[in-house]
Amino acid sequence: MSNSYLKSSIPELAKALRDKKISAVELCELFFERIKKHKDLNSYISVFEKESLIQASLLDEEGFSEKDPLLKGIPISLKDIFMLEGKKTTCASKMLENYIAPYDATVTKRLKEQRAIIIGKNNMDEFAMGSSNEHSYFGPVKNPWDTTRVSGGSSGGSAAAVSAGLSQISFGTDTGGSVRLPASYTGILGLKPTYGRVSRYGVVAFASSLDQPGPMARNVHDLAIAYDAVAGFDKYDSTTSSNRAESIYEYLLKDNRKELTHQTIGIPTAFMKDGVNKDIVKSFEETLSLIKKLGFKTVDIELPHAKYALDVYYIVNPGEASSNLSRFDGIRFGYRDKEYKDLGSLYSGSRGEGFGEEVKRRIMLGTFVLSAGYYEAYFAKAAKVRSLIKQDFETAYTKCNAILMPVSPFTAFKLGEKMDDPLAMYLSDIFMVPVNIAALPSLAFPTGFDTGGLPIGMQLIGKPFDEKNIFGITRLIEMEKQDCFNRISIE
Amino acid sequence: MVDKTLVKKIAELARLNIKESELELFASQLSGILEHIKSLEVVKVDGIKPMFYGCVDERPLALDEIELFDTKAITKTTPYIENQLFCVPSILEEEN
Repeated sequence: MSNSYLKSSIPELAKALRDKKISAVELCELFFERIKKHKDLNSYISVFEKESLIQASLLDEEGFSEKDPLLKGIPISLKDIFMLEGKKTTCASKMLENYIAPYDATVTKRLKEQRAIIIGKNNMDEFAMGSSNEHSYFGPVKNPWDTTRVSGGSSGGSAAAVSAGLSQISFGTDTGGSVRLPASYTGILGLKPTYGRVSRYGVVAFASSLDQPGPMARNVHDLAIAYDAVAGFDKYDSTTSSNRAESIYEYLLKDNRKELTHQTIGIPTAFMKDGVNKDIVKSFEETLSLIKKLGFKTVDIELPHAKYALDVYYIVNPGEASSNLSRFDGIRFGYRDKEYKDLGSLYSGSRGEGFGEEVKRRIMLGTFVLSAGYYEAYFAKAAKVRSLIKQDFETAYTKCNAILMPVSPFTAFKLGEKMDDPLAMYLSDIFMVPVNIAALPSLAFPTGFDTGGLPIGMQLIGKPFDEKNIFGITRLIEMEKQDCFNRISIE
Repeated sequence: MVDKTLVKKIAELARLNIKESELELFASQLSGILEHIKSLEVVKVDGIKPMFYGCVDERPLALDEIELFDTKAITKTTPYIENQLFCVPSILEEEN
């Protein structure tokens, strides 16, 4: 079986399976070979080789037809935060090291219905807290473009796996950029859907008003197929929208150039004027020129409160996290400390031993901002500033249809570089958190490389539930800049 | 701003055992983060409604139906189970 299928898209693989050019077993074997070859990237926590090959051989026996879902027989992976019945869901934490999921997340269930083959579960920052994937109980994920650098977090295992061709697509979660940042650091695409577009049922909760599961892929069509498979109302998640999720992939197959290119793209010049790496500024300007060349108009927009988004985020996020993570008490599931003398010490000992440093830091910060004496000054104030940030976007969208911005002010940094300075680490998220704060969709896509050969990414931020539009625009960019897309980062 | 005593107090409220050797580091890191967050003090929010939820459109009420989860499946998630019950340390002293 040749590696020539490595760069194939899902529709191309589906056709090859139908035409019997390859079998589902051969396709799975290709990915497992690569997973073994690149084990040192540490992108997987669990791999299900035997079961996947059995599943693939059953699918081969059944055969593939035009009527089958495109994902049938395609090897995919999930961040280890999604419940997969009968398998470990560790959240990269000692706390859940031996936890076996008793049911499927809705995302998992929908992917199984499409008959995709879930070949493994990806490494991540513990409980999705981090921007570098160095906060994993199972060790850091290395960036396949330069293994001395971080993959970005918190869905770093998913990003490294897709980028290195160890999985066709993966699903991560984005609370403050955790899909988009690692996608950008590894040269792939990642979507943070509108809050309520993809079900959070069966996804270990971090900050519930911000969390959204999202797909990661190497090209726009794969990303759309992945998104279509999981988007839409779920009766098990009361925050999912009942608005119908139309098929983005079908939309992308039409010629939408005319209807898209008469639109206006907003540029938040003032918000991104400071501290952005010059190679990223250059790549941004090139992307802007391309957008203009395609026929789009551009307009300068103001997001006057966006500069406060990071501060709002680091109040709301730990506040909600400290509440969500109170369920880990050492009793019903998870790690239990052996050295307890009463119920209180069972709780504190299990949590003290079971959680890593970053998780403890956020729980303490959250406990502090929610405490009686400080709640008004911190959490209640942050919730009001959050309204102002959302209003800024609403005002901006009276002048434009989507907003273009870099994903991060810098490219992938060295492993260990920011580990002793959490505040410096948090600054990676500055351009991403406004999106989660305002509950908007955003699509991160690759636009080139810095002078050191590290990938650079931009994001298109859409209006609520307007994923179709940002997909459409990104597809036009992809057709013009094919050399930036569908890259495999490592041999 | 945050000293070792406050870290101890917060950790106690959060039911987290923190090692004596970690107190200093957490105190300095939490101080740094809270100092950064202070920038919000200048933002005027009079008359602004807080945004506590992420939903951006109306959500219908769920049907009033009960779906029972398989108890056996749930109680397989920890080894500390006896007769389908979670084991915890005794809370009340036994009377002699």
